[in-house]
Amino acid sequence: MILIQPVLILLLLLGAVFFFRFVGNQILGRFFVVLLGLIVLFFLVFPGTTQYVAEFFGVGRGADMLFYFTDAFLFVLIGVLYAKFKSQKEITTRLIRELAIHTARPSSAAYKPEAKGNNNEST
Amino acid sequence: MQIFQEKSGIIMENIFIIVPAYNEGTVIQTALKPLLQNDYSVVVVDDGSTDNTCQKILELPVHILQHPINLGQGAALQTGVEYALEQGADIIVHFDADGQHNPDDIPALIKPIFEDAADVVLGSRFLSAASAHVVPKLKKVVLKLGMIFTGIMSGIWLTDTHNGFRAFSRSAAQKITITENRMAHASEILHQISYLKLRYIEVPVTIYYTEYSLKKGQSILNLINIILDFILGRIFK
Repeated sequence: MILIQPVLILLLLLGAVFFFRFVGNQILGRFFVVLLGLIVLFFLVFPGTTQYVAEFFGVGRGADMLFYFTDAFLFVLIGVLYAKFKSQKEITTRLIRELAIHTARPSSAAYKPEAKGNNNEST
Repeated sequence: MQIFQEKSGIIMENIFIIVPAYNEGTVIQTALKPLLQNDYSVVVVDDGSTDNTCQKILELPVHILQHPINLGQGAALQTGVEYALEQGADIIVHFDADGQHNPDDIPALIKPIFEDAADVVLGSRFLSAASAHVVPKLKKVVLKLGMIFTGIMSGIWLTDTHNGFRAFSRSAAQKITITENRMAHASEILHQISYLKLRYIEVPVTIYYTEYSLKKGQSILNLINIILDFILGRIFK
């Protein structure tokens, strides 16, 4: 096993736990986005460093390392988006439910079907 | 039924039958009329039907709730249950609008609740001599697989895990919240029964298979959707 493997697995697990449980925490979410942005910026400004980082993780090429980390990030991002979608769906369901209950038509006694065994004679 | 009422103090009007309906205009009157002859309180939740389902029941003495868009049977049941609880329901029964369920089974379904022997009563077609042998073969296989899946996920082993005919005491209905809008709600209900440690029992019920109900029923492939919905629902709580 090369170093990149447990690192990616750990990142995936941490990312999953972090986002699935704290997806509503805007401060931590923004912090993560800023951190990610700075890392990306660093590699853009100093592209040669990707090779050194890749060798540290046991990956052959810097581009491959970026590919692996991007895959992990995208996986976590899909999970986050699904969680947000589910949250929105719950809100929509709640709104529709409240509307349905608020506009409910209560039972009307205007119509009564004939009871079993009764005849039609009036008293 | 009268003996149960006298002993428990529960009146017929506080037995609420929740009927979720989506495009059941051709059968809904037939399904509802036997219920109305027994003085139950019937709540129809029209789940965004695009046919004349609602028009067909306007003159019936039923409570009518409407979802402006289709959310799914699970969502419709939860809407109906919340409304019934607000109206003072003591017992809540889930009942299909397509005519598959037999209203004459309701007394047997709610009897354990009257007697305080169970919080939730689940109907089983496989315990009924009338239904067990008429279940289509492929459907039987799928239902058995569903039984295994639900048993593993919830720890509840039943003979019929996707039977929509169920009864709840008021306290059980207050504790259980259906969040799965579509068909995964059946598994979710069982999961919650297990999690909340509610007392449950299965009773035999008759399921009528008609060409209409088989056509409207769940496709085999949808079982995969149900499983995925249930698993994802547990992860993204």
